[in-house]
Amino acid sequence: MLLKAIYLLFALGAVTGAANVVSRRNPVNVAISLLFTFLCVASLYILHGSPLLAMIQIIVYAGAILILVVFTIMLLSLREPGTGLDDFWTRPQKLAAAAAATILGGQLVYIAYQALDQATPGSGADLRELAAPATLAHVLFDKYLLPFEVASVLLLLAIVGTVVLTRRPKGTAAAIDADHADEIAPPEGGDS
Amino acid sequence: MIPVSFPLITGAFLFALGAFGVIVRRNAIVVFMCIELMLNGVNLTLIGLAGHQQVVDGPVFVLFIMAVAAAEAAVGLAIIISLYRRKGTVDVSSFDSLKG
Repeated sequence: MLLKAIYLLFALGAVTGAANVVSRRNPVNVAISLLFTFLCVASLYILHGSPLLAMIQIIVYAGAILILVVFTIMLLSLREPGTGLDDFWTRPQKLAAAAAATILGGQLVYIAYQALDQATPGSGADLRELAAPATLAHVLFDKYLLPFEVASVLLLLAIVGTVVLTRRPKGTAAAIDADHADEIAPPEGGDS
Repeated sequence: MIPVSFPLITGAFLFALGAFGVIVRRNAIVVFMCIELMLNGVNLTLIGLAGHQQVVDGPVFVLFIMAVAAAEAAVGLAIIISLYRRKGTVDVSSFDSLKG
C-alpha cells in the first residue's frame, strides 16, 4: 500500500514535469522540467525493482542528453518571444492539437484498461529477478548480440554525422555568418 | 506489488503530453525535448509490461531505445545548430523551403 502511494507520488511528479515541459516558455525552464521528469521516471524504475535501468536512465538521459540540450540552448542564446503556449486560445490549430493529444492519451489509457481485463488479477509489474544485471547481460550478449553490435555502429555513425553536420567549411563560413550577422548578433546595449 | 495499470497509464500520459508538445511548440529544441518525453513514456510502458509478462526482452529493448535516443540527441542537436547557422532562428514554422 505504501509502495503504491510512493509510486503514485512519483508518477504524478513525472506527469507534472511533462506538463511543464509542454507549457513553459523559456527553453531553460523546459530543460529543468524535463530533468525533473527524468528523475521521477528513474524513481519509478527503482520501484519496479530495476535499479540498473534507473542508473542508466540518469546517466544517459539526465546526464548526457540533457547536458547536450542545455549546451545547445546556451550556444544559440535563444531569446525569441511568443514561442510558448501564450497564444494557445487564439490559435485553432493548437486547440486541434490538444484535441488530438487528448484522443491519443484516451486511446492509450483505454488500451491499458483492456489489457487489465485480460490480465490475471493480482499480478503486478515486478522486475526484481528479471532485470538483475547478470540476467540482463546474459540476454543482451547472447540473444541480442547482433542488435548490440548494430547499436555500437549506430553510435559511431552518430559521432561522425555530428562532426560532419556542424563542421564549418573553410571560406563559406564567413559568408554565411555575414548573411545572418544582423539576426545572430546580440541587440544593441548588450554585453560588450 | 505495483499493479500493471500504473506504469501503463503513466506512460500513456507522458506519451500524449509529448505528442501534444511536438505538435504545438515552435521552438525546435523544445520539440526535441518533447520527443524525449515520448520515448520515456514508451520505456515506462515496456518496463511495466515486461514485469507483468515476466519476459526479460522488455528491459533489453529499453536499453536499445536509450542507445538510439543518445544517437538521436547528438544528430538532432547538430541539425538544429546547422539550421540556426543557415536561418538564424530555430522556429520550426520558419523552415518552409519545401512549401513552394
